[in-house]
Amino acid sequence: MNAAPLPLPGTLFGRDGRFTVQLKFATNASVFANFPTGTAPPDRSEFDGLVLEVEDRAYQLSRCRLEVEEAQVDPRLVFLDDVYDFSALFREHRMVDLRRVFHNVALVIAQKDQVSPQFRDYTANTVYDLSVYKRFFADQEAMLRKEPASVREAARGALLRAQRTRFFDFMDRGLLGLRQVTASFDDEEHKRHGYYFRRHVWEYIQGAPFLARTNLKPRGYAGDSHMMEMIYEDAFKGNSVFSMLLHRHPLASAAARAVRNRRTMVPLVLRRVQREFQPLPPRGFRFLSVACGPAFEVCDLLAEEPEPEHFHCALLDQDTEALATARAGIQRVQRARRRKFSVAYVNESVRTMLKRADQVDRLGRFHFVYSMGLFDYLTPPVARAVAKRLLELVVPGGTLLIGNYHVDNPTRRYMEYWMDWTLYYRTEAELQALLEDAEAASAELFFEDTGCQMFLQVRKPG
Amino acid sequence: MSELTLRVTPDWDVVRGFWPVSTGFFAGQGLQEETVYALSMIAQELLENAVKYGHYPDDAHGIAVSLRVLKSEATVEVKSPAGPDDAPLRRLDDTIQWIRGFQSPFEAYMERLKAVAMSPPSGGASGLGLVRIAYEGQAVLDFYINPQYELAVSAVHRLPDGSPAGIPAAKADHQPGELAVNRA
Ligand SMILES: C[S@@+](CC[C@H](N)C(=O)[O-])C[C@H]1O[C@@H](n2cnc3c(N)ncnc32)[C@H](O)[C@@H]1O
Repeated sequence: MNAAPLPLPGTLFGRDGRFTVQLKFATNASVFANFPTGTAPPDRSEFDGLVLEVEDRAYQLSRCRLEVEEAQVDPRLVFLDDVYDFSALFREHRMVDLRRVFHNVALVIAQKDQVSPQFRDYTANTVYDLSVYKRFFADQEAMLRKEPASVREAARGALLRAQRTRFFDFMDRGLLGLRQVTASFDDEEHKRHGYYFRRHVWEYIQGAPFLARTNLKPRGYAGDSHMMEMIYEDAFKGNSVFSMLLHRHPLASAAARAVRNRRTMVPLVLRRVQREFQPLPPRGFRFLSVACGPAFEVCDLLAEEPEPEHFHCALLDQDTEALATARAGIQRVQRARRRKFSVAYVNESVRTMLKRADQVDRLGRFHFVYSMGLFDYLTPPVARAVAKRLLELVVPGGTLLIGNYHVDNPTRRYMEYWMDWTLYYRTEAELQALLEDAEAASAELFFEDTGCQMFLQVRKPG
Repeated sequence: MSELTLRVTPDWDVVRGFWPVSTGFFAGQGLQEETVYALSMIAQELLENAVKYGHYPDDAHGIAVSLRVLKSEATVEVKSPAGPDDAPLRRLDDTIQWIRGFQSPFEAYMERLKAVAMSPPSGGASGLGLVRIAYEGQAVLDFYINPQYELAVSAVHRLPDGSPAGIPAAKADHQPGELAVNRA
């Protein structure tokens, strides 16, 4: 429980004069007023206002009335013209001006005037269909409520298996419709319509754990390691059959399969690079994953490699929680294999790591540097600077591998409209341009099987 | 590609005087009036941020601004000397990722307005300027620190298909990377 917030000094003013008060938090919308310098005015006295002092600021609050309550030592102040958020004021010293917040409502409502009629129809139909599905599944589950847990679980499993194809087909048709109805939109229109759409399907988004997380972004950015774990796991999750299906559907999308594809692709490329440097002493083959996330591909590699002692691996991420997940996964493999791996964890943002001229001294150089799911967030000026710096970290003859989603990612609108997940998409030429000035022995561009994601593989001259 | 790179003294009057420079450059690329306005507003916001938050121990340290127009995008990049403290950079990283976490910058803008309505008592940066770049300027923000310890903040504005931009500017004397005019 939170400790009671400290009282705040203030002055009540009105017809009967000015009163110095100590204000104590009562409820979200009222305060208790203590009169330290004299007796309190009588019950139901009204004041023109209250000046409240918070740190070095003074706030003037509007008309209020004193109410004496039997159970309370100090009378309560209730406000007659405005609603104030005293919780924010006392606990965080923030003054919430609800009138200004309400002004914003008009702005939000005005957004809808710029939504195309076809898109409104599309949204209304989608919401209707979703509500029918939700109700249908809820009815089925309601029938099972009185069953023993084991029967309920089995029946849920049967429902999921039986209805998955039908529901996924329904969603796929809906997404096709989305692509059609938005086909002529420019960037700005996509943004506006996406916002409108999510307001309507919010209730459904909230119930599906994956969609809820991509929308709410509890760590402040899309693509956190927990979202990635959900993609790799590709399993049913949620409190109801409907939510489970809605959670699982995006995990079956081409973009999600592309993530799982790179998990197997990266170790293959790594092994190819490793062969070029053989033989190397223990810990002699050094690789670096930039924006490593949960580093599942590294766990796979260390679990399967006959001689994992030959690797030294560095994992870099801006997010300590991502690094903790990666570490936990690698430790699990270590325990299972009863071996010790050489792994360094580096908590750093690529945006600020460039400032260190001593980067190479600090991290060393690597035979293989790769970055998956990072460049999709970097705009050209930053991506170019980061790519150049990563190539500096590669030993002569070593390889740099960079992944980026392609502009034609078929899941793009699904991600933007449903998941509130935007990427910096690139064409082949735009990805290649990131390292066009770099000295390279060879530069190769290839796609994984879904065609969503491309990879730029650059070999440094030996 | 057309590019204009300038050095600007960290001075409010000089920064205010930049408006005709940016509108002139972007209009010269054949961009539509509202795009010219949006990009010039972005340049202005980024420059003001650079004056406010840059570290200028002596006259040798100034601001470098570059305006770039390609076929599919226009970029404004402003470089200013970064301070020794890492905390503001981390905050900037978080703020930019937070803004970019919304498909619709309007949503970020609304959230920020709400936060401003809740008036931060410490009087710190509201972050509204950056959100304006994303929302009104319809641009994607990003930044990095270079080895010269400069903070390079950029905003990329996607140009609509068939935009006349990309046609090289009539005056081809501004080569990428060249210091075209030294105002410092
Ligand atoms: C989409 S995930 C990809 C994770 C992993 N590479 C994978 O393929 O599973 C993105 C990761 O990039 C990290 N990241 C994003 N921006 C970063 C930055 N500027 N510097 C370092 N890491 C960053 C995030 O913390 C997150 O863990």
